[in-house]
Amino acid sequence: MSSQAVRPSFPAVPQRWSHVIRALDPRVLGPALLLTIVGLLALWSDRPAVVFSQTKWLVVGLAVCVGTVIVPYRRLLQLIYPFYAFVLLSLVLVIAGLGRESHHATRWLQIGPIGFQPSELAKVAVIAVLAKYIRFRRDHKTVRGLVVPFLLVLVPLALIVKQPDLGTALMLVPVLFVMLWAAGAQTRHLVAVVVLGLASLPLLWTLALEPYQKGRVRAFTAPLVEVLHETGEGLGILDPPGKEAGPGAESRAATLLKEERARNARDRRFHVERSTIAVAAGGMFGLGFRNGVMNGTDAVPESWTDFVFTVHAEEWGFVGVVVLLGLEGLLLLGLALTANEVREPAAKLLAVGALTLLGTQACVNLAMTVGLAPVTGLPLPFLSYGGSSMLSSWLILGMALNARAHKPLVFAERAFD
Amino acid sequence: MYEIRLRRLYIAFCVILCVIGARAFALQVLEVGPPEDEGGSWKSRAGRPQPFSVHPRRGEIFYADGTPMAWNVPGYGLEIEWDAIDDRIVPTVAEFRASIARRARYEAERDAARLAEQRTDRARTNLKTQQDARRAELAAWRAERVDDLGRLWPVQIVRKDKPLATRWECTICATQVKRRGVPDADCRECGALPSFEELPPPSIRDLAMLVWAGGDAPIEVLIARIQEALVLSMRRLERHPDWKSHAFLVDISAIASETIELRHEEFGGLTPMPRSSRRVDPDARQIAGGTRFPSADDVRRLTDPARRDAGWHVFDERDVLPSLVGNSLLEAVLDDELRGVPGEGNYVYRRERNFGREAIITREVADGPDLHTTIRPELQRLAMRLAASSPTGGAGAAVVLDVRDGALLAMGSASRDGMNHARTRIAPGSVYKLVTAIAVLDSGIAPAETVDCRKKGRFPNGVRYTCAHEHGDVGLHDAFVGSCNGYFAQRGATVGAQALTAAAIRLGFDTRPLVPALGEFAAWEPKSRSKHVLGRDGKLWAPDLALMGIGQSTVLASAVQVATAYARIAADGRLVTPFVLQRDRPLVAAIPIDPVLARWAPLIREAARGVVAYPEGSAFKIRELRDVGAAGKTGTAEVGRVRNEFLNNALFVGYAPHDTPRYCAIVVYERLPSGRYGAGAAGPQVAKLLAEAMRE
Repeated sequence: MSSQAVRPSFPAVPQRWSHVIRALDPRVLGPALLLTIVGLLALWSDRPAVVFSQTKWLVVGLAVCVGTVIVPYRRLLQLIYPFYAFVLLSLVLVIAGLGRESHHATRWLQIGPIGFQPSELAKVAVIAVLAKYIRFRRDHKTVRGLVVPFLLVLVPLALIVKQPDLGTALMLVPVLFVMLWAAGAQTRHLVAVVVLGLASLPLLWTLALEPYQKGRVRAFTAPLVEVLHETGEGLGILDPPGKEAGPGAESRAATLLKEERARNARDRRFHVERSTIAVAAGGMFGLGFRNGVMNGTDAVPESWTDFVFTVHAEEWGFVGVVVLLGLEGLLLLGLALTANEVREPAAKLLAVGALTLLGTQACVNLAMTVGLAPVTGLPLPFLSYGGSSMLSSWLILGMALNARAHKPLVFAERAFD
Repeated sequence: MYEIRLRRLYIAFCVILCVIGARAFALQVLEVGPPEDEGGSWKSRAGRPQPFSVHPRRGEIFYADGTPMAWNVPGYGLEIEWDAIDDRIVPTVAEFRASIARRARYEAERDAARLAEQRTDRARTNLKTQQDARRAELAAWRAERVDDLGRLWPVQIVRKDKPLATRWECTICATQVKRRGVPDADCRECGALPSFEELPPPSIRDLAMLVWAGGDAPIEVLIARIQEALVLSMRRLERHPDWKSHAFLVDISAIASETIELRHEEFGGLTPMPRSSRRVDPDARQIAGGTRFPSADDVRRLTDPARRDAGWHVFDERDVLPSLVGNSLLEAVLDDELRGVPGEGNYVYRRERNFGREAIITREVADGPDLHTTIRPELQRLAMRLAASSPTGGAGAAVVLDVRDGALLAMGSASRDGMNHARTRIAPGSVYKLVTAIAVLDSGIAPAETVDCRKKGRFPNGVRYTCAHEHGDVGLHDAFVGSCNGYFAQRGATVGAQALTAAAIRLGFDTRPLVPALGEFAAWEPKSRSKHVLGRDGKLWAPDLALMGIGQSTVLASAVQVATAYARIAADGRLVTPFVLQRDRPLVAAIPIDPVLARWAPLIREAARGVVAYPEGSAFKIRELRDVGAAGKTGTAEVGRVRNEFLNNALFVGYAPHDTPRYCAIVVYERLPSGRYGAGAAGPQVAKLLAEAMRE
């Protein structure tokens, strides 16, 4: 066979790297990188030992992001169904008992030397599979047309809930609704589904939720006094109201510290209590870098992962909080502009999905940290420590940027018409 | 439609982020403000961590068998916060002056009673002189404090801009509040309608009766103590304005502590705090030493950043005052180690109302480590008793060493001056002949080579010496057994200063103290060493060398050093060095052996055995020494003369069993009258020590 006869149908990589460079939109990458730096500073303050590891994952995440941008999204979408099937299979394997347990849940799958969280990949897979499925269809504007997209999401969602990882699972719901909504689904249909979902909450409460998950919700809705009375703990050791800190109580407090911590660990309001205390400790200008009193002492549980915002808020104060929220807003703005500028429906949906997922996850995490939402165990994208979280965040960002790098195959006057 | 929905989606996210920002603003800014009683929100104390220290426990010192030697006694102290103290608790200037006068009257009566107890006029005169001096000193001290009080009073105590508050007590739940007028609000505890009754103001008399409830001291004395403590604390405050509070009364009862804490409304500004005091076994006071409250110099030393270079913790000022500082001996030398490292933490307040605070520890406290000594308690008590049993009631010392490794098993001392005479230098007398013997042997002089000893001899330059007996031609062995001054004086002049110095250093008489932890003095100070001892034979007269040869003249040594020298001989030349901490115990096999001492040790040991066992031995008459199988050497040094009567230092150093030595003991009695010698005065006591030591 002559070598001249061989010709690839699609180029493996873009022939001109300028497309890729153009795709690396500073409006998106800038805030994302700054958020990552803020996260690294917080980790340096709270857990210096993990900074190197997090930096390593940052480099890997950036490489994955660039790699995702290089490969045309059309090629990616061609492979999305096998990838979706692989994710479902991974989730099934995790539930089947091959997963690794951590924090009372089995979320990790170990394949040889590589360990990963299938639920993190599921977020990427759901966005991509929905974009692939919806892009050329119009039947999602009908009730019947909503069935397949819902099934595509509910199957992995159910598997993730079973792990259990309620927080990650619930992230898929807004992604589904927003992508359908952006693609033109009827608002009244989606509202009807929401109402139905609310109506079925008692059933889900009984059948689907683990006891600790119910406890988190109860702890959020009930005042602290009821929680403590319910558990029968805590009241006896607390200082009487109005008693000021005095040297006389110091050693007593130190003596009781361990058992008090043990009791607090059982306290279902413990996370929110400690995180709000840490945030409040920052004041207007913060206690200073590496001067936070709650950092590095396990005073705030998971302060290097899910509650990393408390470290930042305590050390940089309200000023730092405003900066961080501003960066989050800029990142979402960049993604929204990307979603608005790309012209192909699939690309639009990828960007909208990324916007929804990253925005929702950040909002839920921040709201949880300041006591506005129940504790869900969601990491803060780009800031929390964790390889899977970092990888999936940059992967999702790469998918959103991918559409800018490659010429669309389909042109339409108006999107989803 | 897509663009509109996308815009709405982004606006929705922005709204959520703004809500989160508003919540953070509320947490971090709005709810942080002035305290509640100054018009702030009840949440205002939240968000402001209050640092505190966790004071470490001072490490304790133990005997070898685990019996406490210096230990902490849990107790309570009172801290005063000048910004918050109830004005009526502290005394007025007039009250203070009156109490000082009362105290002075009490002391005058006490002194008069003691004076009346004296039997002789001379004793009365001496005591009167001492009392007058003491009284003048106290008068000056008190006048200074009264002046301080008068100067500080307007600033610190009488705050005219803040009228006194009155205490009110709820007639239903007995909750106390302080108000300047009649409380018009409901009781915050029981919620009852206002039904308060006024309480009488607390006084310093209340505090005194409370703090020392059950004590037998007159109430006036207690009040005076409190007043003096208050003034002292004010003086400290003057020097260190940053110290808002510190302990000013220690060792109050647990009941008083609890009561004051429960009635904190009544005794505002006084805070009981756990605070250990230190107790030391009286028999081991000369080893463990003592502690004291920190001075300003201690604060400067302990807060000096240069400590970090030496590997020690740099203390914060607030951590120094509640601690104790080692004042002497082991407590002082090992103070940095014993005091530990304080923990650090912060109080943070819970967000919900009335759920108090949490303590967040940022640095765990590191208690001072316990120290285990090599001192045996029973042996130490015996050593103390024997040291105090000087025939004339004068100074005495007793030391016991473990021959195998040099462990200090007991060190007793008794004297009127309060010093530890086991570690002070005295003229050793004939026990120092061991050094001369080693010098003679190391110089190549044969042991059998004799010297003519006359009872009264004369050196070529005319200086005379005396010996207890006229030994005639005598060799080293017999000279040692009979403690012949004639032999050792002549040999000292013969071998010279360099040989004597070398032998002394081999045996542990050096310019370095053997047991620095005990504050021991060196045998020789560098100055005297260079002037008199080190090798300039031309500057030393033969009589000087002769007197050095018999342990007189410029030769000085402590009881510990003499015991060490004989322990090295008993250990066949092993260079054992005394140590007092078990962690310093060396491996016996690792202790170096001096070849010269090892070569001549058998000869010396045989002679030392002869001192006790041979009829011509200087301690032959002491049966107790033979009973315990001891060997040793007597020593009597002339150290002065009073009314034509010589005063002697009487020593005996010995070890037992003589064939396989285990323990080495020395007893010293200083300045005994003529006729009291080492063998008779100290020999039986050494026998007792050795017998007790061997009864493991």
